[in-house]
Amino acid sequence: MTDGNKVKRFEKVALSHIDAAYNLARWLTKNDHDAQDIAQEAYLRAFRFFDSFNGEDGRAWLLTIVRNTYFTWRQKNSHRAKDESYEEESHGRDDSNPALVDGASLNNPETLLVQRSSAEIINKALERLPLDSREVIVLRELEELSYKEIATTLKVPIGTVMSRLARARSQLKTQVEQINAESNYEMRAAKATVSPLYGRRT
Amino acid sequence: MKCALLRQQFHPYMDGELDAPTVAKVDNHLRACAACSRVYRDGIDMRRAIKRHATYYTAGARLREQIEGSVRLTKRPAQPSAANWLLFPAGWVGAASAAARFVLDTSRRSVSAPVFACTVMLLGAATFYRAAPNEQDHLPQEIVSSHVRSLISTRTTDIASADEVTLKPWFDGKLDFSPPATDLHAKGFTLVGGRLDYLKDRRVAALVYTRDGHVINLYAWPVGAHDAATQTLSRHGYNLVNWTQSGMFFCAVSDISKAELAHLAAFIQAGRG
Repeated sequence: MTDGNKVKRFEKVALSHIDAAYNLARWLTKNDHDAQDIAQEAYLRAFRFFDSFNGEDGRAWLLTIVRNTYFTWRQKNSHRAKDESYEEESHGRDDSNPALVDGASLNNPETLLVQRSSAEIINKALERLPLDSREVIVLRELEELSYKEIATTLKVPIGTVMSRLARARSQLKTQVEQINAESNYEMRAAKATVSPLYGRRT
Repeated sequence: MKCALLRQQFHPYMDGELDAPTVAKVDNHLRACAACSRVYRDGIDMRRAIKRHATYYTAGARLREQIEGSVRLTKRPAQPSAANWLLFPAGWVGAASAAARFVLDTSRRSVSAPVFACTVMLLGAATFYRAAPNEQDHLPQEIVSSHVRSLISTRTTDIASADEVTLKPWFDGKLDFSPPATDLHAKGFTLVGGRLDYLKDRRVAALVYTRDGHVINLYAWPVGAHDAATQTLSRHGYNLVNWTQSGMFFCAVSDISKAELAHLAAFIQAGRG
């Protein structure tokens, strides 16, 4: 492959996925600046290793590189990524297969969500998830990858994709409920501090 | 099928990952079991909430430009310049097919071999001319390339200082010439530091300015040429302004407008005049 051809083929395979690369990097790092660095670095790496691309699924291939770039970056910046330390604990439970959702215990999340800014709550909840849960949600729901594509990207068996997704969705539900509970508590706390000004009678 | 066992299939069921017989089993059970169907609906609602509300972050124009630019600039100096390289396929497929048609026409009319030979020679000569690297275009490419590399790198400057008293001796120890290090903060161009770079087979000075968050690299090295007025051009979405003054070649490159870059050039020229 001449370099001219290589550039052209690379443009066709990879340059249409810049948004996907950035979106994944943004959800992994949770900030714009690092996400930009990682997306750029991932493209440089992707170009360098383009000869190893098997020609099948450009997006899954590129997203794998974004992920690897992120892990290398995180190792170098380990002092900054403290908040992710608890995810090892959830890695250990890869093959557990939690039930879908505890339907009996709670209200419909959709009804809970309309109370306040839904986007704010969902984004916050997703950011709070452990890394391996967060990424599987991003790949499935935002990138709409199939189980097989996710398995390729994460380099895990399809069964693991299934169990991680099940766990991630139930964790997300828990987080949404918790955020709603926190905001209700804050609202009540705010009322309690404000009311004496209006001469609250007890 | 027991409820607990069936609920394990809900995720692949809503993701469309089950085979037809299993889908049918789940369908049947959901119709029959109110508890499971409520759990399933909750799951669907959660998915819908994620899809509707989770942010899909899109790459900004600047990141897109940088990625596209760095891919196009990844090429070795010995190759034809990007402009020729882009012209090559389209131009030459056209030329070759025209020539082939001409040769076919003439040979059908059984006009002589010399015409054919001439065509081949002309084509050969033209190809040679085309493939020769365009020296004039090469330097701007190299400069934009260096600029993009500096943006991608985590460190734009080797020495961070806006102070001539610090910068001058730093460059003096590393270069055989002395670039001007003028802070133009009052004029809107903040000097943030200096860097060594390698262009045109030599070490050059790079002075790094910022303006409203945009990085400007000002490259400088001595040339044995007369003063030349300011020239502007664009490559891959970056603007370049260059000039020659008192035996020194200058080139400023950035993604800010040509007019703003020309202002910077004017300020530096005034400072040296």
